Amino acid sequence: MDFANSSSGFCFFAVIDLNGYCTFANRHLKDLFRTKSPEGDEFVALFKEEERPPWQKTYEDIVHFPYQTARLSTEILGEVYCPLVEWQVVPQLKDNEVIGYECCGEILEGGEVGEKENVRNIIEHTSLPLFLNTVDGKILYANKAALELFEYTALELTQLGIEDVVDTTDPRLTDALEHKKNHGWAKCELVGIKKNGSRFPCEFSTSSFSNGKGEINCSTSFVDITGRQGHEKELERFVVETKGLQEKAEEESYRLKKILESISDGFIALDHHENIAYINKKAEYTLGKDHEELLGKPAADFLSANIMRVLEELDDKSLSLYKPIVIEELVGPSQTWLENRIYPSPRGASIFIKDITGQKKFEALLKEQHADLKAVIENTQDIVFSTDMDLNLIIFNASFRNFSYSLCNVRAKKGSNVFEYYPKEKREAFAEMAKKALSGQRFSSVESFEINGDTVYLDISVNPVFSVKEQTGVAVVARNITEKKKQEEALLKQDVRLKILVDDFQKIMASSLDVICTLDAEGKILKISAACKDLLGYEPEELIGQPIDNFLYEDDLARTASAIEKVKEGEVMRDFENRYYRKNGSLVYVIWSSKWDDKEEKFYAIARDATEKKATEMVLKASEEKYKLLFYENPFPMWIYELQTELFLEVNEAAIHTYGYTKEEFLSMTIKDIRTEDEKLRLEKYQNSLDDRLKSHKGYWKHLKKDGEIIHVEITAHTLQFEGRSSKLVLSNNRTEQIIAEQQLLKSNERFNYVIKATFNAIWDWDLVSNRIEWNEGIKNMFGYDNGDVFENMNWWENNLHPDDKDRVVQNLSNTIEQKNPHWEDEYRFRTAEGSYKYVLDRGFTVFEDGEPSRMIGAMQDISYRKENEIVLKELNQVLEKRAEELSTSNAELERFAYVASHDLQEPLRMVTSFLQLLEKRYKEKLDKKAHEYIAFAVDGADRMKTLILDLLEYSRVNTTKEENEPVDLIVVMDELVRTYSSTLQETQGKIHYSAMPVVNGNSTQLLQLFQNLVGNAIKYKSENVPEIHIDFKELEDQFEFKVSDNGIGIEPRFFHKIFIIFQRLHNREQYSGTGIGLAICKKIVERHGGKIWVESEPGKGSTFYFTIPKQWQMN
Amino acid sequence: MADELIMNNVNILLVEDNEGDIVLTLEALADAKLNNPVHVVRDGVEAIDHLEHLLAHDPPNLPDLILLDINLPRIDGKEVLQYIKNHDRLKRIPVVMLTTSSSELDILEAYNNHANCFITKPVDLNKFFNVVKVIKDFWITIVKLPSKE
Repeated sequence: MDFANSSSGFCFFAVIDLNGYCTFANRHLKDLFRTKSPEGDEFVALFKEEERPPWQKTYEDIVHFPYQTARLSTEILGEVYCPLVEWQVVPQLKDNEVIGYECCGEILEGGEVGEKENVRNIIEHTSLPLFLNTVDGKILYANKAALELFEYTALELTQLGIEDVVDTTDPRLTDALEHKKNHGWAKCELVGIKKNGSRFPCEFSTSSFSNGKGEINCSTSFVDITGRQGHEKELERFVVETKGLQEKAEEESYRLKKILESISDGFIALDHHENIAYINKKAEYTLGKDHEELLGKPAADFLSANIMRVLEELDDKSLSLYKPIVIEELVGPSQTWLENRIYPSPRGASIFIKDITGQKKFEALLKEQHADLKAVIENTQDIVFSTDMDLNLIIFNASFRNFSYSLCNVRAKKGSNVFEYYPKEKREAFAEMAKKALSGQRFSSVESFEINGDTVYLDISVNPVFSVKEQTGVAVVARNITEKKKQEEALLKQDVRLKILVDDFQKIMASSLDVICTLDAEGKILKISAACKDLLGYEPEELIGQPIDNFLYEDDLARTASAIEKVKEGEVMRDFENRYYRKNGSLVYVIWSSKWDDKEEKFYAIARDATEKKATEMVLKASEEKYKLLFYENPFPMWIYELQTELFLEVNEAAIHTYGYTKEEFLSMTIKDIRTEDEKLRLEKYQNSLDDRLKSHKGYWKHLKKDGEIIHVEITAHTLQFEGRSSKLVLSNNRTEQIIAEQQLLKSNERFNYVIKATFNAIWDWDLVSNRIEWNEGIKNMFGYDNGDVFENMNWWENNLHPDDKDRVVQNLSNTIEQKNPHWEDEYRFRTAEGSYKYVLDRGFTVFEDGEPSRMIGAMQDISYRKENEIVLKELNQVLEKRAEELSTSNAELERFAYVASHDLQEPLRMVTSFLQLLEKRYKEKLDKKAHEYIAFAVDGADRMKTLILDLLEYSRVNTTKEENEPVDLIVVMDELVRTYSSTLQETQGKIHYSAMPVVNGNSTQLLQLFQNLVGNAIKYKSENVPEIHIDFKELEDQFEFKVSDNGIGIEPRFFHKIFIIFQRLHNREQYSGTGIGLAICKKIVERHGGKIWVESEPGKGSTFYFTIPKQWQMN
Repeated sequence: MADELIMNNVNILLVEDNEGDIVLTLEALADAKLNNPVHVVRDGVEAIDHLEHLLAHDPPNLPDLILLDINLPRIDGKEVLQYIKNHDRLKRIPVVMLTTSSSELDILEAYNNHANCFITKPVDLNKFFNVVKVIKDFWITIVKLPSKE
């Protein structure tokens, strides 16, 4: 859509979507809105409200009749100016569907044209690059668009001529200038040259006009047609190439058509018969005919004679030039200016038609405007003049005339030297300026002039004027800034005063240790001095704008709020204290002074850190309390009595407690009342002898309690003023107990001395300060040293320590002293006089003086005998432990082995037995008697082996069971036992006797087995008598002792220890069957329960088996 | 005569690895007048293969009673029991655990896995013969077994 931007003149172009929003606006349209592009906004928002409904209707019409072109005039509410624009609205089509609208607008009039300023504005801001130049081509003025196009500044351009911005070698320029000479205007396409030297195709148009003062000037416009040219060429190519291919290449055609439809210029393609082959919407509109009326018809019917003439004159030459022939004409009743660009093509021609009415109108406007510009200069309040290089006046305006007249009383004349208009005293300075200006410098300065005693200030800007090659003069614009200057000066003075004030205030704010702040009615901080950083930990910036209550400690909120209310009512707040949270979260006490300003509605407040004050207060209070406490709660009795009357004035709790008098009683007594008669006399003597100047004194006295008991006290007295009376503060320290204790100590010391003499121990007393040690007689007796050998030096003791013990003992001892332990104890070997060593136990007690160890007193005890025993025992224990360990390991292995072996042994054994029996069964008849006998032996052997294995298995299972111990009610076990042996007992008529049985902690299966084995043995080894078995128990301190006794054959004492050994039998198999494992199992079960088993027996009378089960026993 | 008739239709599977025990069991069955041939397999894998083979090719000849030892090479009797009792078409076949084990744990586990009975082989030959006779009498003569299809 580049063509939309590059299209010349006041052609506005916009694309609107179906919702009426602008999706594209060209540069001209955008220029109307400096601050915001209309893109993205509702398009009708650009218009006055009353103009909007027709637009809405237009949109709807177009949707219904897509091939219609709507025309509307609306005033755009531009920021710069508000032109009345005539719009053509055409639909944007895609596959015959309307997808939006294209709006093409041209200016009908430039808003309120009558205003001169507006005209200037139009010229200045129009997107058409415009120059005002002399007939010779010197540029007088260039508008914004022109500056942008050629990339010069305004000043630079006014130093140049038109010939500097175009390619003057172009013959088209010569032609155009020739044309202008004859017709007053010219138009052609040229090559423009920008400041940076780059070239671009442009449309050049110029026309001369008289400015109303007889001067002939020119208005010249340049339009960059880079885009258009390319576009036109492309179009042409399309037309040429697609001609005749149209039907075959629908797509190309469609694309072409779209392009043609969408351009803002009208376009007509003619075939070589000069019939209309194609016409776009815009051209239809321009011709005022529908395309159906036009297509295939001779162009001559619709186009002007001028155009037709050109078409006829087209020949091969013009074709090869490939340049359009341009014809401008005024057509129709609406007086529309059309620009027709005719491009010859091999098969016909194409004509671009553009409505340039707006442009034409504008050119006309420009002619008027030039005169207006002159008037503007003439009438401006600024002083404007220019000179040549000799400083002779060329141009000057009314302001210059007025000013120079009032300054020098001289009328300005063209050609006169500007020096003449300068006051004499200023000429020297002016010469400097002139020199600068004539040397090509551009500058400005403020100068003052005295006119009728008043000072007039001019802001003078001096611009050198250049032709292409050299400076031709100077242009000066001066503005009277006297008023402004005066205001400034007044302001400055005020400023300085204010500044001092503000400075002072700021200094105060910045340097005050107190926080100075202003708060608004809601308590928001408006201003706060830097001290807030110290007080609250925040920078002022962090606090400004925040309500100060945000930082207030919650408990102080209500109190503070009511205080603020009072301030608002007019009270001045002083020394108000509350607490705030500091930035680090801690609390700070703040003390406030504040005042409310009704007029400003502000609080003025000063805050000070009250932490110190608060702390001081608290310390004071605390110390007062402390002193009171010191007196009343003092554990020592204290009182104050008046010197003169000796009456008690105040007593403390301890005094009341110690002496037994109530406070009231005390206060009616004198200090003599707590003394015995003889002490009263002593007191009188003492007081008389007392030096009055002595402030305090001490002494020992006997006091009398209320109950008559006499106590020994140490008195400290101190003279003071109490409630205006000369008094003494007395502290009474009851020393009765100490005195008694001292007496007792004396006695015990005597006793101690006897003990020292009597003891066998070596007693020592070591002075840590002098490092001397004293020994009693014991050291001689114990180690055989004579007196002479016993040194008082500690080294002697150290040297007699066994070398293996020495380091440890010395280290322990010194640690004890260093760590201030009160007690030391060690065992070591000490050398005797003979050189052998004795084991001693040495104990010492530290004696402290002022918290430091000063002495150590101890006793050395000979423990050699004990020590030797201990050592032997220890060694023995170690051996035993090792044995036990080995034994338990091998036992465990044995048990595992027995368990596995007995299991696996059973299987082959069963085979042996089974097949022997099968042999016997199947071959009964075939075997002789002997064979049967052998089989019977083999079967019997296998049978016994089976029993042996089962017993072994049982034995090994005792310790391998994983069952936990639990309370076992032995009554239940007994019942089970009787059940097991019921048939056997019946056979033998035997009996089991038992009464109550306890509950023990153990394994019930094993306990049952234990009883079964014992009872089983009793039955098995019965005598001729009927078996009578008694089961009984007695409860010992921590175990139960059970007893199973029988009336059987009994055991000889020499076998007692053997019977519990596994596989140990006392009888041959013929007498009693058995594997010899039963009692071994019993022993194992008892031991597993932590008990013991033993037997008492007398052959022929019976046996009694005892075993114990501990009460508190847990399986390992 | 009725006994004879029933016995002719009864298949017994003996799973046992000990050759001695195989002989003893077969002798005992013969002693108990069971004339049908007894199919013997010697480990768990063989037992399962045998049953799978019958299921696939010869369902009418599936065993009516299985005598199963516990201590078997490769797959033991417990696993064979699990396999049978978890198989939709085999679980109805009575399984008699016939083993030397008398371990409480083995007994509990066998019944938990739906063994029909658990018998510890007696060491004494006559007792063993008696046990086998009782098994034969109970499972083959007394009880009514499910039909095979």
